[in-house]
Amino acid sequence: MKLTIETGKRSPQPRQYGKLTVDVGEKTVHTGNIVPGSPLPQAQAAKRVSNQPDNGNIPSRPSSNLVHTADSILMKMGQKISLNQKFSDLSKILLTLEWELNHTVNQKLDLDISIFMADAAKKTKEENFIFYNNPISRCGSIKLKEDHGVGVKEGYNETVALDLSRVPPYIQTLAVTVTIDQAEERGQNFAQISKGYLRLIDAAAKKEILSYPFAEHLSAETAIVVTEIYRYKDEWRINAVGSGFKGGLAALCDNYGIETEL
Amino acid sequence: MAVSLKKGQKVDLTKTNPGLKKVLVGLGWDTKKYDGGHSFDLDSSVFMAGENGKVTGDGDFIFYNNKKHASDSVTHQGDNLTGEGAGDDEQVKISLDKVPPLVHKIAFAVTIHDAAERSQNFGQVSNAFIRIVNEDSNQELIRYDLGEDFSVETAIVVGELYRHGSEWKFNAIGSGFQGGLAALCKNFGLNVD
Repeated sequence: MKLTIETGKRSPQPRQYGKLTVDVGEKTVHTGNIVPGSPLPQAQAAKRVSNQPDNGNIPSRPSSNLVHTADSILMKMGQKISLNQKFSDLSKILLTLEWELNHTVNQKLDLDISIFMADAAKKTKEENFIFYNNPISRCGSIKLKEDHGVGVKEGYNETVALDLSRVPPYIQTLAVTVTIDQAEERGQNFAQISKGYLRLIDAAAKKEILSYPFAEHLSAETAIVVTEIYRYKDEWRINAVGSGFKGGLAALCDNYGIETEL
Repeated sequence: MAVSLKKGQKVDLTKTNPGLKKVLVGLGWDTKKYDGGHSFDLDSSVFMAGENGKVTGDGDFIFYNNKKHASDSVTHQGDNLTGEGAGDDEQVKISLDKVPPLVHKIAFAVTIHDAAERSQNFGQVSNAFIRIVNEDSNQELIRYDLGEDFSVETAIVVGELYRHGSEWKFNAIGSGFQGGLAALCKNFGLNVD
């Protein structure tokens, strides 16, 4: 399978990362369901509001009226939590992202979620690299911009629907990463983002299990690993990572073993 | 074939290996390869404690600035700044027969240098281990892989050699502290500024 990542408009030359072509042509808008020129869907509208400079008000938690947050665990960088110890039958979950831009940012800034489904040898088959041009995994365990139909995706900048029971047994790690669209061209990096939160939600119960402020320690990165959800013995665990690379998506592909030709 | 230990497990060292005098203690770890933040520098250190679990003086704390104990029994082989590659990242050599009688425990610790300033902890470190090798035969006797035992800690006591009657045993301790090397020093009765 040939994957094409299209990021931006500047150069007509596709960049080749081994077999992975990063075509720097016009970005196809995610799943293709959104036709350029059509009215903005609600999620996009919400994103615009959050991109407004912070005027000093305490930011409202967009999730608060959509899901129960009372027992949510606030994770620290590096922390590891067993997802199955507290919630033994947890399978259908949502990962959500929200963020705000610092005062100094006047430009548009877009973040994209990608998930690497890596095996025990830390290798990712191309078909198991889930990103905006390959938004649903073959096994059906990962769906970008979905929410298991529970109707909360409008409340967040980005959502991913995960079904852990459908992840193939040979997949060891789901690495949830975030990249800035056209970071290099626009001179953007993660120093311009504040109040970035990753949340993990039990979809059936509409209950937030944990949140992680991932943007606190970031500066020159343009591609980060927000979290890794991984198998340990018979359970799933989550590790709050929040570290990254200056080299964009290509550096992430290297890190998660998408084969590249030198 | 080395004995593989779990956290909290204790095994005999000299009883099952009669005549063992010189051991090499190898410590290793991998840090993830992010280039956006700070690099990792992990340090190993050794506390030579009495029966009460405390050291008698600064000289019983063996680390990168005090590599050799006065008794010649414990020698730190030096600091590795990157933790790159497989195998041991840092090593400590011990002559069991030269350990002063008052020393009952030799504890091995790993700390993250400047952890607080660099926002680092053991949740970002993988494949950490300690192994005890017979220096004369180069045979690995004991191994403890720390694996999933740590996350937000910045200093850990990996394990300790301790006297049991006339023998030496090893305890895979694996207990962590959040206050870095300073917290560890306090634990072993050392005053630090």
